[in-house]
Amino acid sequence: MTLPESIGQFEHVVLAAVLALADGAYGVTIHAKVEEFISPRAVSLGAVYATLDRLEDKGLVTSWLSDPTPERGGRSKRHYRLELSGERALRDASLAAKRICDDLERIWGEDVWTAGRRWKPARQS
Amino acid sequence: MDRRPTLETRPPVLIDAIVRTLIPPACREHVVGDLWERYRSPWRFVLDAAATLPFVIASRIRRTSTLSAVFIQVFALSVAFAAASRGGVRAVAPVLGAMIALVLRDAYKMCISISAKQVAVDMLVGAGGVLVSQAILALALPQVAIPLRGYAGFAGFGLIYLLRLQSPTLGAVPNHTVARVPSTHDALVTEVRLHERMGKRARLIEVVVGIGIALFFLRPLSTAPNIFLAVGFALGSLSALYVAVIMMWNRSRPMPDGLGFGPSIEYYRQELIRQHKWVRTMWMWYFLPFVPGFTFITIGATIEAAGRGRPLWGGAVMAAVLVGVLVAAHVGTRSMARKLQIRIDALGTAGER
Repeated sequence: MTLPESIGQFEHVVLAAVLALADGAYGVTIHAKVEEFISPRAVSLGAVYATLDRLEDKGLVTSWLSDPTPERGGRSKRHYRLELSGERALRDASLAAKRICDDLERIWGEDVWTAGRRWKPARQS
Repeated sequence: MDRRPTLETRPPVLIDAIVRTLIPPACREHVVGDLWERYRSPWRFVLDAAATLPFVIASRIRRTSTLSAVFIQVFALSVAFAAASRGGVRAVAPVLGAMIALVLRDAYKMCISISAKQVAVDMLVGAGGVLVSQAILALALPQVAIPLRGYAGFAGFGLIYLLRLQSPTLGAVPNHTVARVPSTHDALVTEVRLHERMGKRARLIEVVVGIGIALFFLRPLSTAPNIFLAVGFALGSLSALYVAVIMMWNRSRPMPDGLGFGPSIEYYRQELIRQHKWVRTMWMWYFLPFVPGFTFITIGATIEAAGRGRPLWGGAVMAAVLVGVLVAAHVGTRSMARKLQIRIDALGTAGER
């Protein structure tokens, strides 16, 4: 049995952004979605391109050029879509993240993710 | 007259032209388009482009150059420039200049250099990198610049030229490209014919270089100062001849004309399976035969150095470099075998459909 392609944390975020954006996934929108996911941290547009290239080389996403649009100076968008192997890798990575989150909830309490709640480290409680 | 302020929605022409030039052509279209879409002001545009460019260039280099191919080219140029300028330190700058030029040339090319002329242009760019490095050194550190006789090191580009003619991609082919199977019969036949032509050329280069190396080792054989060196040169010569003969034997049959799409795919797939077998066992019939000869040469050179009262670490460095070259070549062939397997699987799936 071959193991699914392993992905890093940032690759995980980018794959999730591509899946969330569906047909509208291209450089600018993927970057915006990634920044939304990892807020308040910022990320360079170039880092998103480099990760998308790597994901494409791993065979997890495919890309194609759309028709040129005037607001982009008559240039095309490179659209991205998840391959089946990409969706599988995303699911595996998300499952691992969920297990971690479930364990953390047990330690920090269920409302740890609630916005505005004052988080108290376990070692001080 | 309308005096309302106008909203600038496009970057200044000069800045846009500079950014466009700096972005590698393969990703220029969508990257410039995205930067235009995010345009707010000229300064924001410049900052955005400056933050994007290093990632885009690095990603392109990752796709067009492999570590093993860079290592082998560095080795060929280092030997040539160190021998020509009689000093290892002086070889650093020309090799660095050449490699930066070659790696950037590969990253900024629109397509892989296949013809002899295209590869020659690549070599001219590499030679330009050497000249630029020497011009900078002549101004800043003239004592480290190579002497006039050091320019004989340009012969190293001859080796790289042959290496690139023999393997135009230098192993840098992304998996998604390997897995893409031509959808029409004409495209498939074109690809198979190109593959056959490249294979024939690579085999011819291997045979000529093998015979060349065999002859090269014969000259010092008659004047070898000790038995280890003599045995080493003799074994080196025999190994090169052996590899040349094996390469002559490894001849593929061209695909017959008039085959349909399905049979063409199957024929191509069988040919790749045969090649995969050759590549997978390359360490055994290509690299291993040279090991005894180089071992004897290293021992002989160390004995010779000890006899003349020279330091002995030269032998250790020589052995380490040779091991490095063998490891790089082995990594390269393993990656080649992996890519061939992906292609074989993709053709198998296409054939079933």
